[in-house]
Amino acid sequence: MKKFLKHTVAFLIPVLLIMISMELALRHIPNDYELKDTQIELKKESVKTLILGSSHSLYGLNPEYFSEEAYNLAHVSQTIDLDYLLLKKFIKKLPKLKTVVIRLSYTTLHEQLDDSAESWRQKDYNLYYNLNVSNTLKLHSEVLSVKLKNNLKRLKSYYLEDEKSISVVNSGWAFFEKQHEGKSLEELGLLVAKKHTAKDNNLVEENIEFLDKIVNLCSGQKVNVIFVTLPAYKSYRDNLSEPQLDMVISTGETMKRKHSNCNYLNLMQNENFTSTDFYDADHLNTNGAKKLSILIDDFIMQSYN
Amino acid sequence: MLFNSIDFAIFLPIVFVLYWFVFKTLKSQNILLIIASYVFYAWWDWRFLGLIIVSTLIDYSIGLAIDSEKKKKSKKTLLTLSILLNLGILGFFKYYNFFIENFKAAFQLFGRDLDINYLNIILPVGISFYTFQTMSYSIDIYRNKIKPTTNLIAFASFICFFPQLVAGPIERASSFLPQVEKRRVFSYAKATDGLKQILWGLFKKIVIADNCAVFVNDIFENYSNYSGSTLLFGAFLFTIQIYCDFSGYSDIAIGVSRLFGFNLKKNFAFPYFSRNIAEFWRRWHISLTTWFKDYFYIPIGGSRGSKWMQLRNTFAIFLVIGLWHGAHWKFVVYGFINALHFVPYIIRGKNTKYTSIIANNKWFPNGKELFGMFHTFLFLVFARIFFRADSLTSAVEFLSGIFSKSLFSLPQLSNTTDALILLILIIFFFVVEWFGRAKEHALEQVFSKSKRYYRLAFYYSIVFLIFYFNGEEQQFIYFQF
Repeated sequence: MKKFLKHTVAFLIPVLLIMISMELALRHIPNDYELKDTQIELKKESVKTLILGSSHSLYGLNPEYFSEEAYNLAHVSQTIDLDYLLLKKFIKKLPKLKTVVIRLSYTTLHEQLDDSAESWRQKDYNLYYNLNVSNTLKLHSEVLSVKLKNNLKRLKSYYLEDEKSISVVNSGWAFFEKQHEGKSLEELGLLVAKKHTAKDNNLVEENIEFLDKIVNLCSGQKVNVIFVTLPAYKSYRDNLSEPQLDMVISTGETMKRKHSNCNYLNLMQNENFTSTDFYDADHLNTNGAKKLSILIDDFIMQSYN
Repeated sequence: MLFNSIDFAIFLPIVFVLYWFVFKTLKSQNILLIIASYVFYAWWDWRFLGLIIVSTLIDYSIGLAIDSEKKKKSKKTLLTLSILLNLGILGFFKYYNFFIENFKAAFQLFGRDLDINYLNIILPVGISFYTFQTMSYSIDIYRNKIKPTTNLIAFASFICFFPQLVAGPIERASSFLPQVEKRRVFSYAKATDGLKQILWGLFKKIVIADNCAVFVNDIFENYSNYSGSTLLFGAFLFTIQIYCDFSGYSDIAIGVSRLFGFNLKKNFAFPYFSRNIAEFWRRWHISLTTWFKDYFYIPIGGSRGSKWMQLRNTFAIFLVIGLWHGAHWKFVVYGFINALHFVPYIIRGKNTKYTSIIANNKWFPNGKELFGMFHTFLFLVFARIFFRADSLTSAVEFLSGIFSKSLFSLPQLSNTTDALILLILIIFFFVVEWFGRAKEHALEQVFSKSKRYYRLAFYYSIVFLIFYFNGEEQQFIYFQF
């Protein structure tokens, strides 16, 4: 037995040492989650508008074009359950908060990060926002949650190639300068619409509860909520499943009717947005983000000031 | 708890240390195994622990009752009760909605609507495995093949032993109970071999199966968008995936058991090196096929009698094996296709032709063996489409998609580089399996006689590959059965 334990431990020690070193090195790399957590703390006394949501909000809403201090707390693949947890964490720390803007996308009611192929991203909320979104041990570690292949790339690009590891600006916004290279908007629209169309409605009820929780949480702090269905390119819109889209729109309208502090804007087919405003079929580029941010800001100023 | 999870990586050493260093008596070790197994199972869903306990108590009591009864008729009644209770539980959780659906369809044929509702039933993980294990115990007592145990702790350990609880190998009381009832002695050779088998199982699951799954899931979910060649590639990868996923699980289960001093049945004997379908089924999911052979095929006549009877029994066993996999017609068709492929071998009396390993004591197979291997594998690629597709209709559409002009185009893959790397890994995997084909598991042979440094370098390479390709934790396919 002694021999077995000695050999097993000797075999495992180098593996464990490498893992621990990598974990430390990876956590040392600056990232969007850590930056946003720090930045919002710095701006907490002045933030009046908080933007939440997935990549649609992340790229589509630029706080720079808001008349009053705004902060973009959206992340790629962030789902409504995480929007709620982030809001719960920060709402009491933001004394001047007046409005929360959340995307209500085609996928919002049908997805949760935990249930998706991107579930590994939960580790960022655990590690950098201290949200404890998952009890799975793996999701409390950089090394264990991400493929070694990808972690090695990250280490190489940060430590050896001196590349930037942050993709957002200090206001929390990230941007696409021009348009997606490769596939055309038409091709992308079809592909992404299919990918975004849900197979079942299993998560709908739970996600609507999260919408309610968000609105009620805001109501308690006298904060208004604006749900926004963001503009999308024609090829994307044309290939969406009608029942799924109707469900999203009717949910937005119901929320508006049900809660006095809630508004809903369906901008999916807004004609002000042309092909030059899109990075791909469902994400806006810098031009589009500017247009949308001004539009939302106008709405806030007219409705609540 | 999944074998490929961090939770299990922590759970296993804790149980190992407690087992060998703290709980040193036989009774306390068995109690520890029961507790550890229940924790292992409850990690998935504690509510279904009750089912395992009920199954354990039913067969423990009925086993004793069968043995104490003198009259054959009473013994038979008790056995029938055990089978009905076990199949009743299994049938309710696994087949209730399937039968309701088919009853409804049958009644509709006669213009009647049957007013029975479907139930929202969750299938308890491992139910098909441990139910078969408990049933075989009662049947073996009835057949006077074994004596019932009076030790409830030993019996409960046999039923819930965590390495094989949720996906087998399906153990028999005759081989496993004596191991539970006897004090285990730690063996260095057995334990290190167990670790090697665990390592290879993790490689198969994480590196091969899970990476195949990325392509397979996409191709099978969006089959209508893909060319014939892409669909064929998807079916090929699924054939690899299911083997690496399930045999990977079995390797880990057997390896873990060895760390605790137990020997489990070999569940896979390098089935893709089979020269015909009959040999394949002797090498694939051995604990299940031998279960059906002993408790179903032989009692209905087996290979005794005329060719016609043999064919009838072959179709019967394959239909039941198909249905065991799930309440779906696609599995019945999967079983039927396999049985159909057996027909020429039974007619020509060649179904028992290959009993030894391929190319024994040779480096390479001869032309005939190579052709047999290729033809068997190709058959499985097509048959498994029924296994993987969402429904029978999807399977037929998938098949017709393959046989189109686009079969001769290059496959359209979301990531060609990843696909090429995966193909290289699959080749590496087959090479290692080929060299280890005469052994219990592939790593028992490969590098086992090399110098320590080469051996270590090889094991560290496998560890590196496991971490390098480790992605999202994918459930084991056979958990759904």
